[in-house]
This record gives sequence, structure tokens and C-alpha cells, in this order.
Amino acid sequence: MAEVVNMPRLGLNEDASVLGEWFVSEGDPVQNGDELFSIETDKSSMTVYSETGGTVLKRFYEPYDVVPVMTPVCVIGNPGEDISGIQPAKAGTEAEPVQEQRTVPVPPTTEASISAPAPASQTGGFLSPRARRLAEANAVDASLLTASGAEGRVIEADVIRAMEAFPVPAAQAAPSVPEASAAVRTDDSRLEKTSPIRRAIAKNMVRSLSSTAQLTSHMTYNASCIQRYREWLKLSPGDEKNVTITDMVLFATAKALQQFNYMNAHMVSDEEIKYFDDINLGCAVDTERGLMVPTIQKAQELSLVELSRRLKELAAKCRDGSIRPEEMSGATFTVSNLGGFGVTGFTPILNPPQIGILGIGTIDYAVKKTNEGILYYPAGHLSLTYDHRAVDGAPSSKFLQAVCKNLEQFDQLV
Amino acid sequence: MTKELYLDPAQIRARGTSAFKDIPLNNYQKKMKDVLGEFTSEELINIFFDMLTIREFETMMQDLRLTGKYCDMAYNYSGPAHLGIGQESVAVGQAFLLDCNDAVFGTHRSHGELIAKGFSALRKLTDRELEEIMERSNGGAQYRVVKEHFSLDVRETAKRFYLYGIMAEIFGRKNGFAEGLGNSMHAFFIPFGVYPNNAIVGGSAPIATGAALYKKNMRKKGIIVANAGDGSLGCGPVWESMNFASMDQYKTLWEEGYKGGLPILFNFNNNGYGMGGQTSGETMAYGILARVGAGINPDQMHAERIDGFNVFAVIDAMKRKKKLLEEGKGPALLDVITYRFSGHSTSDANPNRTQEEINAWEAQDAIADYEKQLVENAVLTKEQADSLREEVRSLIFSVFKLAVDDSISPRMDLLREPDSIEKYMYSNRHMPKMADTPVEVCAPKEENPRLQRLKKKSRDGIKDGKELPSSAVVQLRDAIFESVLDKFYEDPTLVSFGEDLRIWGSAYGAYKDLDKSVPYHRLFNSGISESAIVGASVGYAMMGGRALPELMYCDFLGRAGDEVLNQLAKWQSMTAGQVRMPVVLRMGVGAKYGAQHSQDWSSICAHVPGLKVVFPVTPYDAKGLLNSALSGTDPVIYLESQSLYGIGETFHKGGVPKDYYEIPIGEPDIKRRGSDLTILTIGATLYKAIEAAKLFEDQYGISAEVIDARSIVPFNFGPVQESVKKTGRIIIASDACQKGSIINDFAQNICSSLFNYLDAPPVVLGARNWITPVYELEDSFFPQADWFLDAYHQKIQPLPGYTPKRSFSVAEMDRRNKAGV
Repeated sequence: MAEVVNMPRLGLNEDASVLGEWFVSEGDPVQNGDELFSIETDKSSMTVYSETGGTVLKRFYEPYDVVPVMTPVCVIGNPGEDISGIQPAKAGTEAEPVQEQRTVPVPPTTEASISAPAPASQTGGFLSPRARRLAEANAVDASLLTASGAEGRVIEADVIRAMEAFPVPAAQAAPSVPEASAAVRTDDSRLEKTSPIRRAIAKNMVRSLSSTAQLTSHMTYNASCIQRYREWLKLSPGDEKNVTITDMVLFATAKALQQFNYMNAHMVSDEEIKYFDDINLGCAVDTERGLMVPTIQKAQELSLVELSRRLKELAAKCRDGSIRPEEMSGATFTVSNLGGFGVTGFTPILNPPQIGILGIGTIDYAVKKTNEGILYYPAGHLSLTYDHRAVDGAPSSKFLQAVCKNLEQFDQLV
Repeated sequence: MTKELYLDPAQIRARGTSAFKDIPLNNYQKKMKDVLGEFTSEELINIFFDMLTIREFETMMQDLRLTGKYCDMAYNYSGPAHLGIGQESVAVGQAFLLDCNDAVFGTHRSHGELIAKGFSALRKLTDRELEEIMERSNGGAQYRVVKEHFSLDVRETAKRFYLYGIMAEIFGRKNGFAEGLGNSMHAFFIPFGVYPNNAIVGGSAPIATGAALYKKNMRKKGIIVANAGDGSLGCGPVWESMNFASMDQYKTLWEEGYKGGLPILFNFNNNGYGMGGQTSGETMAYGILARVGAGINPDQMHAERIDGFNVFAVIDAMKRKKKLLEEGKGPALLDVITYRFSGHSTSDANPNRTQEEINAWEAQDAIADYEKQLVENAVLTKEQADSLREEVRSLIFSVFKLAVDDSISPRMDLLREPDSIEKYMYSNRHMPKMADTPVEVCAPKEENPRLQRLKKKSRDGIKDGKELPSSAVVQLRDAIFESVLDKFYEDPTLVSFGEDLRIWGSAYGAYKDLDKSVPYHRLFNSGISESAIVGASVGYAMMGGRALPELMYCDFLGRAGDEVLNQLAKWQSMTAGQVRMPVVLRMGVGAKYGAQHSQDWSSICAHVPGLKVVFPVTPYDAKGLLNSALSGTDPVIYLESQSLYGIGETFHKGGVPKDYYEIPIGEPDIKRRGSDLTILTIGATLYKAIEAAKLFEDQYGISAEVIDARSIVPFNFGPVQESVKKTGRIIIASDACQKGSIINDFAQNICSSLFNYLDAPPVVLGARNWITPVYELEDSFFPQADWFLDAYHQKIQPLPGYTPKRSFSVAEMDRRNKAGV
């Protein structure tokens, strides 16, 4: 019996993914666990492994083709098997999610016995036309929505809720993506088609900017403490010696977020903000394929060295493409570092529904007048973008001050 | 219903007898030799010519249907062919004295009357008049064809013009007198006084009665002839019409100058059969048809039997009856004996009569007999008669060739001109009055006592945010009254009749005190004769007047089914817009009175093309829409909810304007603004929807927009679509039984136009498909406020913590459908 390998759904909002490269050819024997192909999305690259043994009977796509999620990518089975019934999706369409056939309870036949309508969660898998229209216009995957309409129908309100709760993650910077399409060259310019990843990023960026009220505050801190502390750590024999400035900022941020819970939140809708106990830190990692943002779960429970270790594990997975989607989701706050490029300040773009993102800038040197006189010190730059719908300038500044203070007194923090 | 007439028990209960006068049977026995001094030989030859023309015309029709060709020219005609071969002398005798001021109405078998009346009328017109008529007809289309193919004098050209217009009509050509939309059974030519034939047996009787009312009221010259067959005496509307034309009040109550019965002759062409049924002896009980008149009025309708095979007997009878009618002694009835040699239609194999019988009548063929008399009396030689037959044959054939030639006589091209028929469905004219003569009223309008009383009432139903009591406000019934009163003082042609209108003021007092301003002949009580009420209105309007009939209850629509659904709705388009139909039919939608007095049948009317249908439910809308209806030229079904007659205006700011204003027919009105749910209502359900909207808002924070359809046909969906685009949800409700209701049609329209905007299927909320139960159980039958919540909860979005009382599940819907309830 031939096994169809579908394009997995990597994120809630993805309706298509780009096939990366093939690790098998048609006719190759494969075993359970063998690498089949890689996928690229705007945020991650991952490998799809075979979950069965057999022969690769058919590959439907070439590298860098766009494949609708949940539709066939290849078929594994016994040689000679008839697979003519298996067809790839038509270009540009997302396959209908396969719905489980539910046994519908026998409805009442007389007015005397009216049962309550189906519970809201019991979705019949149907979208109202209005909900479908809205979902399509905003690339919301409605198949996973909770239906609150009558007769198990997903209605407009459900899509709106989903858009507010799970917006498409926004990237902070453009990943470098292979430019697969042909360029049209003229004398003084060239016109190129954007890649699917580029388009996805563009859409996400614009959505973030258009759907939130974001603004950025910049602040500098005296980095002499963390620099000293890092020098000290380098002397230790264990993993402590690998702790980076980024790790330390993450650590300081996690501690500040514990104190300032109002920054550790999702703006679920205009009416509701969800505050989290756990601090799940999204952390931007630069990879060959572009920027990726794995999540460090429960950062508040980790020591500095645990945090550092965890980030390195995730970064390695990102680089080798083995990162799982769940390791890249659920962040309650994000930290992004462009300091390595000498950037002194920038305006990171929020990942809605998160209400804050902290940008780490470079450390340069500055002078300032203190009570002891003119001080020449290493100045670290921080840029905090926050959603003004959720939090105002003063409280967000207090949070930023707290992060700075944590960094300036890092030895006391650890 | 009047105090002027005293029901004296002593007189009514007194012993005595009622005697009928003798009914003359075939009294006229003169032949041509006896009347040579009364007719010129030209007239005698014309009579022969006309009879031959009809015979040849019908023979052509018969040949086409039976052999597929006429004079060896093939033509495929598959339309109706109800032929009058054998009945020619009746048609020609009847038409002989009539001119274009006299109006004849026909039957499904009236080619003969059509030709005879037209030829008679055209002989009485001057060349100049004829040319004008021909030039005006269909923009000169028929005249151009005839002039191009014949070079004859005006009168001879006119005959061909007329035959061509009829043939083109029967063959469904654009050059037909009704552009082919009338066809064989509905042919007519109004300029010659030939009013539409009617495919419904007896259908012309009520219409002709209304035409006679118009002649009488508007003091027009001429008489009305309602042609019918003997079979039509089995039809109620014919009896209703004869009574309507005879009502005592014309003598007892109508004003001087308007006294006397209607100038109408009910002419029964008695060929012995109603299709196959043998009237005398099998299907009817009158024995001798002429006896019927004695049952209708004390004059016995001046009824007599005439030998229709003797054209001079028919002419004589017409002469006498015409005089009676002109003297105000109508109506009259003729039982004209005739016989059709052809079957009911060409597909009739005559299973019901013997060849012996047919032969016996054919042996007395009126045309052969007349020819013999012409020769005997030396009016024509046999050779001249034969050549006249040849002349007629080539006349018919020459016109036939033009009528069936697609290049000369094309059909409507509905692909190239898709509005060819559509444009005739409504005339859509704004004509505040149908004539420019003085209005006849009893007193200045301002003196009307009700108008004076209304001055003291509040025109707004709401004062300082509170609803005023009914007795303090201008009510819906007053709004109707004001509109009707205004129109009586504006349009001199306006008449209003129905049951209990005058003095009683109609069942719910809308017309109370109208009699103080409007004389009898414009406002009167009819018999309990719904067919005649509506049918007479159709005829009255067809002649150029405006009528405002009332059926007390919508439930009585069934009694006027043919008149509303086949006549009122269709004559504008069946005449290709040559008649207008300014008739506003008021009907009450009842309540509290059970199964036969509580039905909203707007959907039945809406289904039939050609009617406009409105259902206002606030005083402001009632007056504005009635003003529009009464100033238009189309038939409007105007529904009134009897449960709302006493309400004041609670929606329109400032209440009901005292002065004249119009609300365009077809425009819905937003009665309450909202953003989450659209509710569209037809009729009195509006008030339940408003209640529901308050519940939605107060208990669930759902903001409902309530739109009152006001009109059903035509209907502008724009405002509803705008609303649904905003809300994504719609409930459409009405008090009509839901099966086949127009609200389903509305829902389908919303689905089609706004499918992608819908967040739930449009919910249709009609009355149950039962009989209307007693008043105390009506809450379970008509949609109530909580039905809206029940339906919303189950079809749109569950309401938190809500427990519905009624099922709107698909299973319940399926069950009801399967059970037919």
C-alpha cells in the first residue's frame, strides 16, 4: 500500500512551503527514518524523514517549488504499484483539510424534544462564506479554528479571533534566500520576481506594522559589568566559558520580565491581553538560510549557563535544519541581536501578538558626566519596540530601565 | 346598505305571486326579400363579403392546422385555432350597426367577431380617420407593409391592413396588433372598438361590465358587447357580472343623470356546446338560455332568443338592444342560436356529436342560404357571387403571404432586444389623474367631517418619547382615508367599489365618512361578487379610468382568482402596452378570524408577472404608498393588516404628513439601525421583529438592523444588500405560510448576490404551513419575537445560556417537508 508523503504544515499560518532539496531520487529504497527532502519556510528549514519503508515511486516537485501544505510531495510504496490516483495539488491552491467524518447525533424529530445545538467546539468543518472570504484574504488557516457558529460552522468572529491570537510571525530581518527566478536585465537595472519566502516575509512585516501600534525606545547601559563578568566566565572549565553577551542580555531580560509581567504578554484582541507566567523567549539566530527564531521555553527557570546551553542547541538545530516547528513557537517575548554588525540602534518589528521585542545593539564607548567626574565606559545599546495598544511609554521605559540595571549589576543578578 | 331603503316586513311577507313575462324565441322571421327596402345593395353585398371573409380566414386556420398549408403554401402553425366556421352570420349581424365608439369584448373563439366588428367600424370612418389610425398603429408598421405590397384606395388598404395585423398577431409576428404577444385568443384592435378577446371562458363578462361602467360614468358614446358562449353560463363570474350590471341601486340610489343600468349586452353565441359538454340537456339546467335573464332582474334583461343563422334577425335584435342600452335600460341579454361546423379546436374529433347532426346544420349554412337569397333577389348574379368568393380567397391569401414571410413580418428578437417583452410588463407612468374633466363630488373636501375630526389628532404616534393612545392619533386607517379622499378630489375617473364600502366605511372603517364627499356613482357597494369587483375594475381601467376596488379579506382572493391572476396582471403586456391598468386592489390581511380570514397571500400575487405588490404597515408608509399606487398606471395589490388599522406612526419623525407625498413603490425602509444582524420583514411581522431586536440588544448585545420591505414587487435589494454586507446575517420574516412564500425567494436572492458575505444561511421565518388557528393559538402560528431568537440560536450562532422553544434544525425542516407541513 503506497504511502503518500504530504507537505507538513509548519506553522499555523502557512498555506504553502518551499521544497528545499531532495535527498532521495525516484526508485531509491528508503527506510523508516531516512531523510526524504528538506523544506524551507520563511522562518525555518527542516528535514522530512520517511515514516515508512519502501521505494520512492514518485516525486511531484523539483527543488524550490512551492507546495501547498497537506498535499502530496512524494509517494513511497512497492515498485509497480498503481499510484495514478495520487495527484499533487493544483498550483496555488491549498488542499481542503481532510475532515474526520463525525457521527452526527440524531436530531429531534418533534418540537417537544429540542436538543441544545451542537457544542461550539464540535466543528463540522464548514466555514461560512463570509469567514472563508476573510480567512483567505488574511491567509488564515481556518481548518484549525474553533467553530462558534450554529451547526458547527466557523464564522467570521472565529477568524477574527484567530487573526488576533495567532498572527503570522514577523521576521526582524530579511533572510538571505536563494533567488531562483530569472532576472530581467535592462541597461541600468534588473527586475526580479520575489521568492515565496521573500513574499511571506513581506506580508508578515506589513501585517505586523499595520495591525499594531508599535514604537521603539532606545537606551544605553554601562556594559562594563557584563564584560567583566564574561571575562571571568571564560576562565571556567565548563560550558560557562561559552556564555555570550546575547545569553547575558537574554538572562537579564528574563529576570526583568518576571518583575514586569505586563511586558510578557500577548495582545489577543482589542479587548483582551493575555499575560503569561512562563517566559518563553524567542531569540533570533542567523543561519545560512536566513534568520530563524527558536524559542527558549520557560527561560525564567533556567540558570545563565542552562540558558546559554539551550540557545546553542536550538541554534545548532536551526543551522542543520533539524529544528521542529514546536521549537519555534509559543514565544512570549523576543530578543534580536544586530550588535555583531556594529548596529548601534534599530527598530525591531514586533511579532504579534507579542507586545515587546528587544533589539541588542553593539557595545561601543561613550563618555558621561558622573558625580565622580567624566566617565569613559563601554556603552551597550538596547532598542525596545512595544505595542502601544498594550502598554504605555512610562511602564515600557521602566521595563527597559530594569533590563539595563540588570545588565549593569549583572553579578548581583546571577 | 342604506337607510334610504326600507325593508318593510308587511310588504315582504305579504302573499302574492311573481310573474315572468313571456320570453320571445326567434320572433324575427323576415328574410332578405322582406327587408330589401331597409338595406342598400352595397350593404347586402358587404354582409356577404364579411361573412365570406370570416369563413375563408377560419378555413385558412383550419387548413394550416390540419394540413400544414394553405392554398398550397406550407406554413407550420401550432398555436391555438378555436374556429367559428358556421357562426359567421352572428358576428356580422352583431357588428353591422356598431362603430368604433361601441366596444366588443370577445372569447377564445372570436376571429369572426374581430373581423366583422373591424370591417363594420372601418366602413363608418372617413379616409382621413382611417389613415390616421393606420399610421399610429405600431408606429405605422402594418401600414408600411400593406402600402408597399398593395396599391389600393384607403378603404381597401385598410381592410388588408386590418387582416394583416390580425394574422401577424395570430402567427406571433412583431407586426401583429399586439406585436405577437396577444395571439389568437387575445387579439384586438382598440381603434376600431375591438377590445381584447379572452382565452378564459366567460372572462370578458366582468371586464366588459367594467367597461360599461366607464361608458356610463364618464358619459361616453357607444355600448358594450360582452360576447360569450353558452358554456360560459356555467361560470360564476358571468352571473356576478350580469348582476353587477343590473344592480337596483342604479335606479334607486344613484344621482340624477347617472340612473339606469349599465349599457352592456351579454351576447351568448349559443352553439349548443361548451367545448364538448352539451349545454342544453347535459351540463346546464336552463333549458332555454334566454330564460336566464329572468333570474337576474325584473326586466328579465330584455332577454330573447334570436335565430343567428338569419343575419337580419341578428341585426334587428342589435338595433333594438342598442336603443335600450342607450336609454339606460341595460343590461340586455341575447341567446343567439348558431352552430359551429368545426370542432372546438382543430384537434377535436367530435366524439360528442353525430355526423348526422353536423350535416343537418350544414344543410342550413347561413352563408349558402344568404348567397341564395342574394341571387334570388337579384342583388348579385351567381357568377358575381362566385367571383366574390374568389376575390375574398385571393384577399386572404395575399395577406397570408405577407404575414408568414419572416423578412416582411419578423418575430421579436429577444436576443438582440431582450427587453421586448419586459418593457410591457409595467407601464410605470406617473399620471395623477386619468382625465382632465371636473371631479364630481358632494361638497368641498375641507367639509368632510372625518377630515375635521382628524385635525384634532396628533399626526405623530409618539410624543415626548412615549406612544400616544390610539384614540389620540392619526391611525393607519386615517392615513388610507386621507389618500383616498385626496385622490377622489383629483382624478375625475376614480371609482371605488367593493363590499360594504359606502356608509359602513369598509370592514374596518378606512372609508368611514367618505360617502359625505363622494357621490354614489363613484363610490358604491357591490354585491358579494369578488370576480365582478376585480373584473369590472380591469374593464374600467382598460377604457381609460382609474379604479380602487376592495376585497375585504385577502382570503377572498380565491373568489377573484382569474380576475386578479389572469386579467388584472396580464392585459398591459398582452396588449403590448396599448392599455394601461391603473387599478389599486386593496385587500385586508386578517387576524383573529381563523383559517379563512387570516391569510397573507402576497406571495400568490407576487408570483404572477405583471402585478405590483405593496404591504405598508405604518401610517406614514400606508399613505405614501397608496398615493404612489393611485398615481401610477399599473395594477397594484395593496395589502393592509387588519390588526394594525388603529396604530399611530411611531417610526417616521413628525408622523404622517397632512399634505400629499409619495413613497416610491419598491423601496424598503430601514426602521431600526444595527450592525450585527439584518432582519427583513414583510407586513405586520415588523412589529415582532422590533420586539426581537430589543431582546437581542438588551440580553445578548447583538445589534439588529430591521428593514421593512414595504413593497414586494418590485423590490430594490440595494439597502438590504448593504445591510447584509455589514452584518453577514439575515433573518427574513413574514406572516404568510412559509411554503412557497416570497421570503424564500428573497432569501435565494440574498444567497445569490451576497454568498461570500454570508456568515450563516439566510434564515426564513414564515408562518407554519397549517390552517390559521383560533386567535388564542396564533402565537404558535405566526412568527413571534422569540422565534427570531430561537432561529438565531440554532441557525446563526448559539446564544449563551439560551434554551430555544422551537426547533429550527435541519432534521425538523426535513421532517416537515416530508410531511408536507
